[in-house]
Amino acid sequence: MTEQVLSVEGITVSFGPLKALDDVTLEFLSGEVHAVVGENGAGKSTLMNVLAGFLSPSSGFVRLGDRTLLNNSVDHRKWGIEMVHQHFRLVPAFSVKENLRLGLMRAERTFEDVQKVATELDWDIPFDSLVSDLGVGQKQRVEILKALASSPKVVIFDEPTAVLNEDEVSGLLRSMREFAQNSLVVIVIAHKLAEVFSVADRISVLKDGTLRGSFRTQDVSPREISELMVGPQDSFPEPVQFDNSSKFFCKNLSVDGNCPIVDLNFDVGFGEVLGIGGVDGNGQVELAEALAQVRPSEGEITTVATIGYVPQDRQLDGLALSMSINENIEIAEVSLTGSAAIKEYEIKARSASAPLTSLSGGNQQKVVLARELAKRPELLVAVNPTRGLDVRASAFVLSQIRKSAEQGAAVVLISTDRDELAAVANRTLYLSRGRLLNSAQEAISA
Amino acid sequence: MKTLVVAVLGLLGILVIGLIVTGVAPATGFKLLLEGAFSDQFAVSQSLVRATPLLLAGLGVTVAWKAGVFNIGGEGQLLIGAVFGASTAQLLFKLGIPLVGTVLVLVSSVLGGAIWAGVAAWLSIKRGVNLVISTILLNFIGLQLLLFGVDGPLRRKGQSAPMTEQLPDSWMLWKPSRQTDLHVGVLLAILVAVAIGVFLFRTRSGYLVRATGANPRFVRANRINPSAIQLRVMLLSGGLCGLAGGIQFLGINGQLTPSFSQQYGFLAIPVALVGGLHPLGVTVSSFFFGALFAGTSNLSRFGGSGSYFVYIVQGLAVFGLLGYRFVKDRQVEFAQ
Repeated sequence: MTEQVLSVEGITVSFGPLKALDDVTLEFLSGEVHAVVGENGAGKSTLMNVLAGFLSPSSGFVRLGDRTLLNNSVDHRKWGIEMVHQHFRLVPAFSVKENLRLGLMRAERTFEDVQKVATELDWDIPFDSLVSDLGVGQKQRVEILKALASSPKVVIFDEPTAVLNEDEVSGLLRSMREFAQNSLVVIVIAHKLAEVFSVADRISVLKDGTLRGSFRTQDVSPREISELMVGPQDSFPEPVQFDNSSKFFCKNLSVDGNCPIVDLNFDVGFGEVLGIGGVDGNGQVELAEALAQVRPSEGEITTVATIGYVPQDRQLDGLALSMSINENIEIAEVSLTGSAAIKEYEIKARSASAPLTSLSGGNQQKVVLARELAKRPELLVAVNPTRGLDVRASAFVLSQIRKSAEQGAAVVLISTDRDELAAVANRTLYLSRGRLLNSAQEAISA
Repeated sequence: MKTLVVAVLGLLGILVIGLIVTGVAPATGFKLLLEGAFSDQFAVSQSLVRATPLLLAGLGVTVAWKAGVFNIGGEGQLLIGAVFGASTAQLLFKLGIPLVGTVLVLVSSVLGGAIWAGVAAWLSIKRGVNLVISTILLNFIGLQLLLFGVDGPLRRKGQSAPMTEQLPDSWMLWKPSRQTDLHVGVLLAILVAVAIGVFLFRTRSGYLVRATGANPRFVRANRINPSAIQLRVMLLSGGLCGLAGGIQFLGINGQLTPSFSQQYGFLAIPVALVGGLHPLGVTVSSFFFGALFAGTSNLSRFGGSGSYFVYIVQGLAVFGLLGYRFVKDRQVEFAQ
């Protein structure tokens, strides 16, 4: 039984001259999973923030049933709108139980109720472990339990699959369906259309702050949705051919870290893209930092004149967010200027002296890439370079990485995204507990 | 421009609040403050002379904080700088080399401040001791070393009161007039401010200092060791605070006493914050607070209540600033 529960009417949100949302009217029905898709900067996050009451619209209303909400998060939560944030809001030094109790303080539920919810969902949660010891997927489940604890009517998921591996993704999508069957309104922001089509009953497309359409999933094809989001798509060209005669070698490489690497051996041709797959936390960071010579290592590595390094977390390692585009390039001592980078990489920014905080995630990543490729690196190490980016930005980043290989760089692309590896890598190895394996199956069973 | 207007109006508002809190009618209070700070040669020289150690130590705080190193130890570094200066003066005094001696005293006060800051930096980088806490604690040790010095090895011969030898004018910083306290250290401090500005915004090392402050992991990912930068910047910071002590010693006192500490090293922190951690802003804010100091001593002479005024206004100014930042940051956050 579906009924209209939540609606937004004529929502406009302006930041100065920029309209992040322009007269958006949309209904959300109970018992449905409603996906909101769009490019980075299309207004998805703004819409979610309005729904959750974190942001007051310049005009328009949010209604829950026949009640008009007050546009503050306390009121929205009181009437049953909960949000599962992309960046978890958990205290790492507290146990799962303590985190849940913290979340329960304003709800009229007990910890036992939450435990029951977990049992019903068949989730095996180590309630007494510290949150810092949990994997990403489990942390997210804790976050979801926190949201469910106050028996909400609406649960909003902000790009929930960005941090998960494939098994965790399918588990999450299953859970979302269950929530909808229990007549919740489930709203999800997503990038990957395959996931959207496997979970959503209804898909709404935002572009440049306006609603481009809202469809029942069975009435529409992925191609149509993707064209509404970004316009017609190019497919990836074939992987490049490369000269096999000279290679970048890595012999008996050992690196200390959370997941130590012992005696790793591999080579990459100059001009080749070597993909390294596997689930997060199996030595990816250790390997990348050792190759980028940011972390000390033992063993024999081919000496190269310049190394390009696209770290896994652009905000943590790749950029100084409070500094300008110019200043974020300056560190590499390359001839590239900020304004040249803006032009060449189509970075959306006010100017080269705009701080990185004013850029969207995709544009931030373009700054990292512009800087690292301006070095004309002989070795390029990139870790999950498209994480959190939309379709078009991802394609651009990957094509630049390929271009670097075409210009003769040995490229090591470390990624948890199999499609990405398949599209770009000439060959793929898999990391599992600090060892390199030849196939994903081996990596999973190891 | 808008920020400047907000800042000026804010400071005026804070002055009014400060006056009301200290129980002075705002109109009378303003008059006394302005007279004390600007009414004649003497008043202006007082403002400038008070601003000098605030500017130098404020620059010291600024460079450290720019690199993300929260040096709270300006006071200790200033005092140790003065102790080093006074010790050098005592050692070299018999040689009778006034001008060279002056330079050597200043150099040794820079060294003293740098060493004192270096202790905290070393503890932080090699032993993981929280720098905020170690610099705070080293302030107290610095003060006690000053007290020990003036009552012990540095005590004037044949004196039982705790004070060092009074240096003759020939060793002191040059003064344009014998009627006022104004000394050449004021000019020196402004030159240092220009130099720090050039260093931070026009050199590679200065850029790396700012980048380290913005995100040390960003610097590390580009194969540059942020700890080494922070260590060096701490030495620079301590050196500047030490210089503030040396200049105070050679510009005003010519002698160390237990009351040498005027809290300039602590006040330098709000001076630097209100100055937006920018050499130009710090220069302006140090002269503002220098004038406030001079005005306040006038206020306390006639208004009966005011010698704490400077501290109250500084405190309120920092609160105002933090509040303004908080609101602004939230706006930025939501705009994304």
